[in-house]
Amino acid sequence: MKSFMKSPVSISVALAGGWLILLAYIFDLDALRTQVLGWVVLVAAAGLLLGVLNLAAVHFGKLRSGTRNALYSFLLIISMFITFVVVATLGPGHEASQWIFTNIQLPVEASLMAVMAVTLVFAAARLLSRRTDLFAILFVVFAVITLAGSGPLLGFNIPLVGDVLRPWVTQVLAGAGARGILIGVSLGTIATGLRVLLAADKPYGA
Amino acid sequence: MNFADIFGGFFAALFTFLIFSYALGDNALFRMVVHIFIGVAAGYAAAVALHSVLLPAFNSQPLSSLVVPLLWIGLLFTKLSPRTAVLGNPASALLVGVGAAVAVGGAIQGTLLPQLAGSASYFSPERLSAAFGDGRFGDALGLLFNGAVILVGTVTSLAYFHFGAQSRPNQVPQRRRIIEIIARVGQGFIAITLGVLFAGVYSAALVALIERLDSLFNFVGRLARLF
Amino acid sequence: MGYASDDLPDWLKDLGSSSLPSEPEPERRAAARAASEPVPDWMASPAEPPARPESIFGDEEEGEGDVPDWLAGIRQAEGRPPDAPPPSPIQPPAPQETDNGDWLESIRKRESGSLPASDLPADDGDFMNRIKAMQSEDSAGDEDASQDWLAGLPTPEPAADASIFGGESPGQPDWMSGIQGEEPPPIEDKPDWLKGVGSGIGKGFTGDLPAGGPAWMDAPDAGADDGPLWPAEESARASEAVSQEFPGLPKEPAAPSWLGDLQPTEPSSGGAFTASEFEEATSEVFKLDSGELPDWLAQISPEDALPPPVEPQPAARPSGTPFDTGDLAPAELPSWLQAMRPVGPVGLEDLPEAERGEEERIGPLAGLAGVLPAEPDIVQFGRPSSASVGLQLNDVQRTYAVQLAQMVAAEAEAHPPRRISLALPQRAARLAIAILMLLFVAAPTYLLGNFSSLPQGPGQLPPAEIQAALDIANGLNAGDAVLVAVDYQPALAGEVEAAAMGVIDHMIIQGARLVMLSTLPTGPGQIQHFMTGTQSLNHPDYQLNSSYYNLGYLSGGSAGLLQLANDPRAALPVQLDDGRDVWAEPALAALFRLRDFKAIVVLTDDADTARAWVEQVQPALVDPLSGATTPLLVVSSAQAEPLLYPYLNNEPSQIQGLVAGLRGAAYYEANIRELNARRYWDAYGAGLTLGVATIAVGAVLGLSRNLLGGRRKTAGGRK
Repeated sequence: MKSFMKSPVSISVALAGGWLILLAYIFDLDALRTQVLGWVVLVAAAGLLLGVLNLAAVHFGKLRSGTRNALYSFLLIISMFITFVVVATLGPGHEASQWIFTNIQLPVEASLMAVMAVTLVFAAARLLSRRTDLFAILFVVFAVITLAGSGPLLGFNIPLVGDVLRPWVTQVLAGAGARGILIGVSLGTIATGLRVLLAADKPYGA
Repeated sequence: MNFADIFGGFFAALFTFLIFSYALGDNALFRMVVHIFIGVAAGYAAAVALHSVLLPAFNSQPLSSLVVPLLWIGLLFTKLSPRTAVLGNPASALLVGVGAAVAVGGAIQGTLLPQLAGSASYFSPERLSAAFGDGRFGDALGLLFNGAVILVGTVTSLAYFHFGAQSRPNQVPQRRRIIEIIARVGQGFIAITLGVLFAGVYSAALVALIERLDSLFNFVGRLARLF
Repeated sequence: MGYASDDLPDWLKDLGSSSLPSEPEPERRAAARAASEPVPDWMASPAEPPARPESIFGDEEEGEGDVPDWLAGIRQAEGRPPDAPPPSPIQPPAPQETDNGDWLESIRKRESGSLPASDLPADDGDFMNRIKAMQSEDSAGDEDASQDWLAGLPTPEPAADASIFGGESPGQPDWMSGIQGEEPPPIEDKPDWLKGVGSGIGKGFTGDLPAGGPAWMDAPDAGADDGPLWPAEESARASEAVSQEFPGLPKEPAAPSWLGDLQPTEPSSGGAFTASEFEEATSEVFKLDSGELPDWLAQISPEDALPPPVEPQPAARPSGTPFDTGDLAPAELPSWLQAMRPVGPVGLEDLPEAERGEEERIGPLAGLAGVLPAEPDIVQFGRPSSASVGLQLNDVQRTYAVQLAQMVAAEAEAHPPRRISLALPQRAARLAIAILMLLFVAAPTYLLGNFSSLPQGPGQLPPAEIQAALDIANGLNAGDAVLVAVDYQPALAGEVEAAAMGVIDHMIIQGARLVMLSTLPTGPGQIQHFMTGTQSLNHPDYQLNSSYYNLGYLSGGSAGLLQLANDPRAALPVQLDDGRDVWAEPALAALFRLRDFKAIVVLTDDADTARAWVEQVQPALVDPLSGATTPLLVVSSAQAEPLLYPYLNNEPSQIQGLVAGLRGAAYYEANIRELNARRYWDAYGAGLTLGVATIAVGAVLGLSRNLLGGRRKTAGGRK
């Protein structure tokens, strides 16, 4: 109640919008829901724009402060500005925009992911050196089984591992744990969402 | 293969090598490339949001229907300044409130109820009678066994996330003994799940490495054909 | 028939008047007193404390003409004039060295001139003096507050004190001894009818009372109507019943001889509102006819009159304490006080000693255990000590609190980017793994060629989820619209595109029109990259905006997906380059709902993204009338695979087909034609081999080292 008096508009907006959407799962409120969701889609896109502006402002501040990492901030701002101007004016489907995406963004991201392959193997190989308990052993054993059943080892598919063992492990054993995780995640989502919808949590600055 | 392709291929190869240099250790070139990537990704995302979402919406709708969304957007942009940031709270509240409702509704109708029902569906009379009726006793027994494993795994995994504990004076709060035992079983299932997930992540990273090497070899091959 | 106040002793009159709701307000009483009989000499004497307690206990102060008759009787018995100050209603504190004399005696001496006023002890035994002294020490603000509070203090009843605290205490003045011995005579000296009454009261005190107190308290508000408290017939019946039950009870109870001296004097008339008028007014409430019993006596049931059962007596106070009840029989507790004792399912006697609470040491309830403490909490005139807000923590809680504070503080600190430094052997090992991996991956692709077999051999059936995906694609006809969500990051474009290539290729072969969108900002570029970089090689005439459509980016995350499920056209108001509405295109003109698409294909690298599609979109794919479901096919990275099986294997399934990772793609391509999955398959196998071998060797080495190390430690410990 106290916080409601402090920021009644924000809380009212959150509750009204939220409960309207929630009630639309039950009652026929499609028109109203479409209207509100249309606003949210636009505001979310504007929020993305706002986030990028904030990132630029932060690095511009670093650039002005002349710290040791100012060069990195300079590169970030320049690349951001050029990309924004090109893509926003020409559109993402234009060749210039596609060139930026194909030759800068995609190779860098994919390379970062590729480097992770080395890191993952290295970490997994050291796992039992650092920690030897039942769960670490289970982790490593079933990771190896799954990998061994995912493709050919030395050019050959290991009998039964890829056809029988791996599917059973991934769909039954791991599937059971995954189902528990999914239910747990949904319960957590519901609890967190309801706290927002009951104004117990106000992560919008109220 | 035009100049843009050659130039672009060169850049892509260069960036790939510089990122791979991280295997030797963190270095300045790696950081430079990462900052360039962040700038490009952010600029690209902002431009797409403007070009693909905001401008089409403003072009396709009459001004009268844009008053409210423009008001929300205007309020949101007041957050750029700390002095006026409080004015943007209602717009943030709209995003949060609607997002929470969408998440709650989706979680209930899309995951919670179907998965709870699905955990028991292995024991449904229809499925079992179908298997037994066709004389596929092995399938029926397998169905029962798998269903039992999934049911146990689901319940125990959920119990692992149960953190309610009894508080005793001057002692660390502990879960009940029975919950602790069930949670240990669930921990085993989760360890298996994480092991399988790890294998999936490694597979994905491996294919990413393969794709990068493939593109490098392609570029070199095409470049070689030019000369 | 009413009760005549003349027939009732004063102390009983006071009892009744103080307990009734129609009791006059203290202010009114004070006004009545202020009507002013002259102040007696003893009150005007210099030894009188300046702050008189009459503001609180105004009733105890009587004018000269209002000296209680019983006191007058005592004085007469002692041969003294009836102008001595009345006794303090409260027991004096424990006698001090200078105060163990009879203070009343010293007053008498002073009155008679034998003792100077200055020789009077400073502490007259009146605790109100102490209260005043405490007040004077307080700050001004506190004083105001305390005085406000004092204004609401109830008026104690001197007679009640006399009856309750009849036990002699070491510091008790002589006059109290006299009262003890005279007024409430010993039980043996009581008349028969009073013996019964006393025992009844005692039983009522020790036993349970009905909730709400005695019946006389439930009587109609006497102040509301000035009529008698008790209807005449009722009183007559009650009186008759009492007389039948108690044959010894006289019908015309003449006042006992010991009460004869205590008859009240005739009320004086004079003044605007004199004390006598006030007394008369209050006595209206208690119109007691001479022949009637007081109502509190009339309410005593016959059972109450029976001799009380032997009950365990409350633990006696340590002897020697100022308020030691001594031989006080519980039967002497007046009925009005019974209403003040806590009423509950358990009597005080049933409670263990520790639960009865501390005995009250001051005020009208002094000597009683289990009552709300008056002195420590109420009679505190000083500034209350500030309430402690500190928590009582044990060691474990304190440790947790410190850890939490450290965690919060660490979160607030800005950490510079941390350089990961590894020991030289570890860096060498990581470098060796990197080099080996590059060799293992590169060599098969460009040196060895296709040497690995696909997972599905000739004549074998694909897994069920792959077969379902094949069936969905096979079910498409030329011109069927398929919604394709390109929801993967560029980081995993290699894997997801390889996995999706077979599926999309199959659909294009079937003649489907792809309507593509993305919920990621990188989506538009990703769609373009996927279609121009892969499909255009195999299907050069499959062109944008004629064969397939790029609807671009759908913002809002899950909310955007819900909007898409609700109204696709409102969610994606896309215009072509020439300004035309994309939904007006002939291929899309018939699409208004998601169910109008023949299939939904989600290309994703993230289980959460797939989950969002299942949660928000999949329910909209079910026709509520026919129950027919538009199939949802997911092509995912291998890292999302385990979390998608619960949706796939559900009953009914929420995902109708799944192609996960390069392995799934290899199965799919084995049934259509070989594309990128086949191209990557050998390198993939080599990378898996290296990964499995490295992890297995590392695990065996680590396990053996730890086990051997543990044994050595154990052996070392034994030595």
